[in-house]
Amino acid sequence: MRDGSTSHGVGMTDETDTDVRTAVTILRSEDAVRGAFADSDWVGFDPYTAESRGEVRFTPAPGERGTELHVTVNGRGSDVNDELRRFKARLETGVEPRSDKTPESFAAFRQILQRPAQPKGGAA
Amino acid sequence: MRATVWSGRNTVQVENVPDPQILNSRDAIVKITSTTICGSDLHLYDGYVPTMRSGDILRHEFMGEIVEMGADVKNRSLGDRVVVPFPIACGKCYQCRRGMFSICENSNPNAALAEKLWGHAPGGIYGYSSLTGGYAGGQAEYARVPFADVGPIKIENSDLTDDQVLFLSDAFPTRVLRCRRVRHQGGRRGRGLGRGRGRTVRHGERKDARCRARHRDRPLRLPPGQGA
Repeated sequence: MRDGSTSHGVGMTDETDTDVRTAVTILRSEDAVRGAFADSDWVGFDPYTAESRGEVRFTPAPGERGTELHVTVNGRGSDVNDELRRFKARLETGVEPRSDKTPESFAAFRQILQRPAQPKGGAA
Repeated sequence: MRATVWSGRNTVQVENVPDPQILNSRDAIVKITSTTICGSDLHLYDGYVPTMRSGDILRHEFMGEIVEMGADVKNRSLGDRVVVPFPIACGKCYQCRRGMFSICENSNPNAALAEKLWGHAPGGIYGYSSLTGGYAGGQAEYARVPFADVGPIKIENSDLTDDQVLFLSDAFPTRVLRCRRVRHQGGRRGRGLGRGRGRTVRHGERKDARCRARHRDRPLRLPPGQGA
């Protein structure tokens, strides 16, 4: 298990399929984050099981920055972090950011397999 | 559409590429009327910025007319004439709420990549490598503008020409910000305060009020047939 912090409040983890402990800070109230966490579709772990096992924690973020969501789940660190970044973006902005190089939004594989930064063409 | 693309170190070409499309409900498509080139592009051109890829559309300063909008862009209208600032910002995260738009926490889908290289990720920027999000730039006929309800500056005065307002996208506010950050030293000149090309900023005794930027280099002009 490994954890750390990065510029966007998302934990830095290794890439092996193991227990991943990471976190994200979301500019929303704890109730809003709890509700959205339960309602979201998560790939790789079940929010109810994770929460009942104590693998999910919600804590107030310092400096009126909202709520910290801490998770400890089994999976690839980069994939879990991508999910947390998408969750944060959906909650704060209503959308997931998509660029021409990375139309899937936060996706670890795109760090290597980058498209050119030009429109994809065809159906959106 | 036609667009200026990076094709490798020291190579830039105008090519046919697909038209941009709305990908999110807060996107807009802008038909570009003017764009620029600056010293920051030389870093890309010279091959000093990693994660560029052949086919990347360049440029982060541009303006034009909104021709298409997502459903959640409520404060802009089709036909609005807008200058598009180079940082892509969601307007909702902690940093955006503080006015720190260039380090928006949500607009860079490649933030993890930038964090590995730099330790800290900036927000998204148009036409400036994967590290700043991988967004297509504005040296093209059209551009997709994410979070169009936050960034674009509407130009309502039709008497103002493109040349008079275009530099609101980067060159002018970047110089103003620099003036504000530089420690004042009794009217002495601070050199090298701009990106790339040498620019001199003279600042007076009072902060901000008398701060002004002078571009001492020869003015940059677009190649014939590009931009307007």
